[in-house]
Amino acid sequence: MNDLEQQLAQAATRPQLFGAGDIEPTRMAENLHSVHAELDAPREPRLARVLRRFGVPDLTIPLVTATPALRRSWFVAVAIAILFSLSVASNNTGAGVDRIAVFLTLAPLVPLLGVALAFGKGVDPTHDLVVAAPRDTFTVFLIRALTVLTASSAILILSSLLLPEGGAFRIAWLLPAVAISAVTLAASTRFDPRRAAAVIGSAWLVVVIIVAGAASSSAMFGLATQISSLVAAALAGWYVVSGRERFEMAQVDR
Amino acid sequence: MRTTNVTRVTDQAAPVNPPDVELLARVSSGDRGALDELYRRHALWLTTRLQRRCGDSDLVDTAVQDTFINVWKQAGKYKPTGEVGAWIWTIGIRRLIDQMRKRPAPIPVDPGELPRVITEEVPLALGHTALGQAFARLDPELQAVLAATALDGLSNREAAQLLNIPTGTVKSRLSRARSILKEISP
Repeated sequence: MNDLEQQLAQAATRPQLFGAGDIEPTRMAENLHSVHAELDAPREPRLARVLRRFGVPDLTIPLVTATPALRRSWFVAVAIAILFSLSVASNNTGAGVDRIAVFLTLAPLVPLLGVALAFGKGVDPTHDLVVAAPRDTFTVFLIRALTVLTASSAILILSSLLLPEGGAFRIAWLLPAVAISAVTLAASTRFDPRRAAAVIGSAWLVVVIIVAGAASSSAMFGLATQISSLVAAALAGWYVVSGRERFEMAQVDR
Repeated sequence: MRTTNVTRVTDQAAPVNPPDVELLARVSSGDRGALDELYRRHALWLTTRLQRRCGDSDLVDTAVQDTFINVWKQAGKYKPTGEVGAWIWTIGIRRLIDQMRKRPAPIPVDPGELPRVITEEVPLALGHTALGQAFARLDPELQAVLAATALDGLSNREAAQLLNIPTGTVKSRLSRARSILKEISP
């Protein structure tokens, strides 16, 4: 460093000496106002910041973060349910699919429960706002349901990896889960979402008990079930999309 | 010129006239009024100087706001080694560079603005001395690099971002400037 640079660096220790200002006072006042506004703004929830980073649109973020089923209490309940079925699975006698049959049976009910509690009068504190909002209720419902499906499937996939055995069967719950939730969504365009979820969840349990009892767990969660789940999910999805007007009316009536 | 500015800065202060360091201590304990006073003392020169380095006043305004938000949050971390103004400057110039970097097509220093750093700030720092005359004889692009590193206190990389040139160019221009200065005034 030479004399000149030293002289400049020395001057830099008092930077205010160089700023004889010609900035308008209103601009200065506005910037101070913005600083205060920023400091007073409530901090966004962590989930919202993560979503923003992934490019989720501003309008959608509050819908996702306000999803009732994403509350901590719901996550705790889900975690307990999964731990319970995991412990049953690892204590069960038998081999292969039979050992994880309980897990495979209960897992699809988790997203179903979430979807049922994602939206609706009495569950969602923002329900009246959502119904009255200029955005259509159906889109809100779909965003909510997809949020819950994604979140609970992520938890379930992680817990599937903890299963002692079962091979590819460990994720055999995934398609049935999607199908059950989609059918519930479809039924929600006509009936109360929670009642629909209860009926369809019970139906699933009955089917599993009958089929697994008559044949075997591997038959129950085998290829036939996967394919029919896929078909059911597709049909239900189509019905949901075509039934958006039924849904809007059902919300207003309720 | 310099002394008038100094008087102006101190004249603006409240009757009690607490020093900047004390204001900063109060800011760190959550005193919004102390932040306002720091803003009153430092925002004008900061905005003026950042504006000389960036043609886009939206970016400058955001950088100034970010600076004082940072001052609010980081006040507790200030080490009283230098002037509070110098500390605010290091935050401000880096927030400006952040803003310029975030732009998809970074807006380089406005060709009309850059000389103002050289014509208005450097002469203040060097005065009508042999050093000032030596500086005046350098190429404008060498002057810009010297101003960004020595006067603005930027690293080579930061200077490169501010001037929108490659880091290697900063290094080579810097060494060229140094060797020329050595020849002029050994």
